[in-house]
Amino acid sequence: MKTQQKNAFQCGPNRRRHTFTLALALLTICRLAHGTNSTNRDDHELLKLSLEQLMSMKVTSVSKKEEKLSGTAAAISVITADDIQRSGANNIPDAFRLAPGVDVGRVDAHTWAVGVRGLNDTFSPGLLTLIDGRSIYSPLFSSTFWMAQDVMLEDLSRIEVVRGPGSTLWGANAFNGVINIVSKPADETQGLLVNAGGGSQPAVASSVRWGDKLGDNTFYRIYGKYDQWNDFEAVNGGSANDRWWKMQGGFRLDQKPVAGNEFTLQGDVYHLEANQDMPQVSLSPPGRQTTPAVWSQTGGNILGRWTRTFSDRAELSVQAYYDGERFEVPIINETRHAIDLDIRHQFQLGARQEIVWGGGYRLNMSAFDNTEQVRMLESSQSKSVFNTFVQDQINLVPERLRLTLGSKLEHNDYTGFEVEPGARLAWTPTERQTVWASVSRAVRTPSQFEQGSRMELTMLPSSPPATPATLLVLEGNDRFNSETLIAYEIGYRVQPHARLSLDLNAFVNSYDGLRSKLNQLDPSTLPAYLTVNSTLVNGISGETYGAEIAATWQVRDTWRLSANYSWLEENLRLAPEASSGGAQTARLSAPEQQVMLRSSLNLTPRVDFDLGLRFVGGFSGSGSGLPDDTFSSKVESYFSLDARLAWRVNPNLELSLAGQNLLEEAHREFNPTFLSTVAAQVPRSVFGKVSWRF
Amino acid sequence: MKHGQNNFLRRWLMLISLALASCLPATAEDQTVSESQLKSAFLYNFTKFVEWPNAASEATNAPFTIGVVGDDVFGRRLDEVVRSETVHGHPIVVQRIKRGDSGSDCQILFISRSENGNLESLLKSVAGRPVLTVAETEGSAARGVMVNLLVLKGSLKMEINRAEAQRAQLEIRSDLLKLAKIVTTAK
Repeated sequence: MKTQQKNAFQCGPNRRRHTFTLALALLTICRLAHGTNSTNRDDHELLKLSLEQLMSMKVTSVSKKEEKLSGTAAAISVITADDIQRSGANNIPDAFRLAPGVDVGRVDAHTWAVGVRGLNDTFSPGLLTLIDGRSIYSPLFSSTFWMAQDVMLEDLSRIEVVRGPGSTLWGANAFNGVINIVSKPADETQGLLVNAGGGSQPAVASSVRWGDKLGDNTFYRIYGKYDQWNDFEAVNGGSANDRWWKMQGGFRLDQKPVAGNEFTLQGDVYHLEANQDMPQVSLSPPGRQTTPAVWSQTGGNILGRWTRTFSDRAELSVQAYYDGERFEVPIINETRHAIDLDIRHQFQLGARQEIVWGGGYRLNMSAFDNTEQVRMLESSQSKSVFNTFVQDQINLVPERLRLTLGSKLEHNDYTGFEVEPGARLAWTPTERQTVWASVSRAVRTPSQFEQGSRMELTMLPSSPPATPATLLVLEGNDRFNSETLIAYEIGYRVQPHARLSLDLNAFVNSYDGLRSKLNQLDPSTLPAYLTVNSTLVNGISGETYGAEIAATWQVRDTWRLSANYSWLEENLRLAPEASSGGAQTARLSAPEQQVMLRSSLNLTPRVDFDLGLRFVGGFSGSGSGLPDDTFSSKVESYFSLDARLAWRVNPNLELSLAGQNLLEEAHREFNPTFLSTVAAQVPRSVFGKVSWRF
Repeated sequence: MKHGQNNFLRRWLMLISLALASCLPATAEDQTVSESQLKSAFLYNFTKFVEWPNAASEATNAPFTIGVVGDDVFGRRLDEVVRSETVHGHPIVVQRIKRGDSGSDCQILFISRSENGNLESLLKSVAGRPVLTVAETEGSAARGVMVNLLVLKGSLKMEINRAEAQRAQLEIRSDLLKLAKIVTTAK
């Protein structure tokens, strides 16, 4: 969903240096995409114009930055801070629902499945997400633990959703898509902000932020927040026992000691506790029961970034961070530390080429406490990833035709070297439209779990006389290789009118070696029970294809309508050798069709009224796939209506009331996979909030 | 209610037809700029077309300050535009003014749209001081703001409340006045 007016104010081109993030790379595409336009020069040319000439200028409703986005040869949507506030979203994954091509399924109160262009799963494999340049992708399960990822939504600048591989710049695991969550620089979040809210979901959401300056060139903010969610309802009736709470605090400091230099230091710490009924398998007597448990997780990160701007087109940035977490669940306990270093350099080569190149190093250290039920072959490990990349943007016809060639070369300890090249061509026949096409190769590298682990999934009871009790075991495999993707994409973006913008994209993703299971019988545990080992192998290949259409119409200054439609087809096949043991079919799933309509209306300058209607098509295939899992079946299609009314009583005080999923009591969005926990339904909810700032 | 739905449908039909029309290549190649870019350029021009009392006589190391209060629509743009520019030898600096702080030490005070509800108290805080107040919401010149920059149908309209400027001892040159609609404070 590309919003116009608001972005024009929030994404000025010179903010680039502030909002920096690893998305420097994205910005590179963006700014390069617009050929020889130099923002500084434009500004200074403007200063030379007479007043009369200035008066005759036409004002666009999109900023320069956004124009650059519109010229980018990739399927990008920007969700602005305003969109997020007005949608009533209380957490990051729910905010992703505003972008086309993304499917968000809330599994229970604290678990989300987020997929871009299909292949969705509870653990969101193949989607790389960064918060201010810090990867939140966990190498344990190739996943993102969404409940642990949070920011103060009021201090968010925007969320950039890139559909399709971003591997040339971001590397492995930017497979089906990349999401960049970008917070505001500290000088834009000055003063005190207090939010207090409550309702049926979340039960409590409260936060405090204080921003101030330390001298002329240094700004900072600190924040703290506490959220608490009520239990969802189980599909079977009764409570899903999944209530949870989280507290988080953090800071950001931005300093510009001398012109052309910027320094950012930021960090967060959090602790959360989530109720979850965990499956527990017992060998004697054979059986499986679900035990109430608490998922407890603590973590923190600190990031420093230095950017040196040499000229309008040349910039060097160095970024380093530490990220750590510890989580404890009865069957899974892990401590993880990551250290990451990233360097990027961008410069102009001759009149028509712009180069961005760089490299990085990441060290992942983890210690896993093996339990009876889940074991890692290497319980304590330390793995390195090295990468280097180069990208060249060639302006074939200045401001009209641009070719971008680039590749990442990466080395990881599981699969060795990985090459991720890409080529993108963008044609901008007029300033208001862009046609683009791209081909790129991406990989998803194996997770620690996929490379070597053993997990007892369930014990099926015996049915005498023929069938003994059967233990199902899921095993990783050190021959498990990277999943590969070649993506073919085309897109057309047009602004037929100052108040209307349209974005059309289509893609074919051709996959090889997607994860599947190979089942083998192990009779050695008889007569007590029979063991079936499901080994993870690269058994699925095939294509997905689809399209997304998004439109934004600023009907009046006070009223904006936006709509998007996403369509997706999967045609995935099991390799014959992989199905010999009776392996599973395609593992992953997503709705074929999604529609979203939103209306953002300012009833008066002080009152906002927003409505959002979503249709999400039904799909099958989510769920653990276990024979005793009654919820592996279809997830039915659903309609969902969200509404929000906000009243700014005075400049310091805002009251808002938001309702979500208003059309029905509750609906199911996604079934638990992998860990077959309780299947829950997302309830109708109402939430009220008071925001006080001064 | 019924009427609202019809209206809604009609809007959507319009959207679809616009979408179809958009398949034709756009022909208009207007000279366009972003709103924040244009407003930045105007703020800079005000430094040349408005006379501040004692501007020439003060020590040149004192900065000429453009204050921005409320949601910052300019980002870094304004800072970039005025960087290394001067007014009678005074370097121009941009200052973000926090809510509650006074903008009375500024020479120009830009009151962002987000502060519309707070306009009167902001104006009161600079009353009597030689501060050129600039706003961007309809009707604000009639509420006592000296210059109002409005974007209507894609182009900029300027309203000037000359009496308020004179009361603050600011002289607005005729080059600027002739491009603006002159407004007086509504009683």
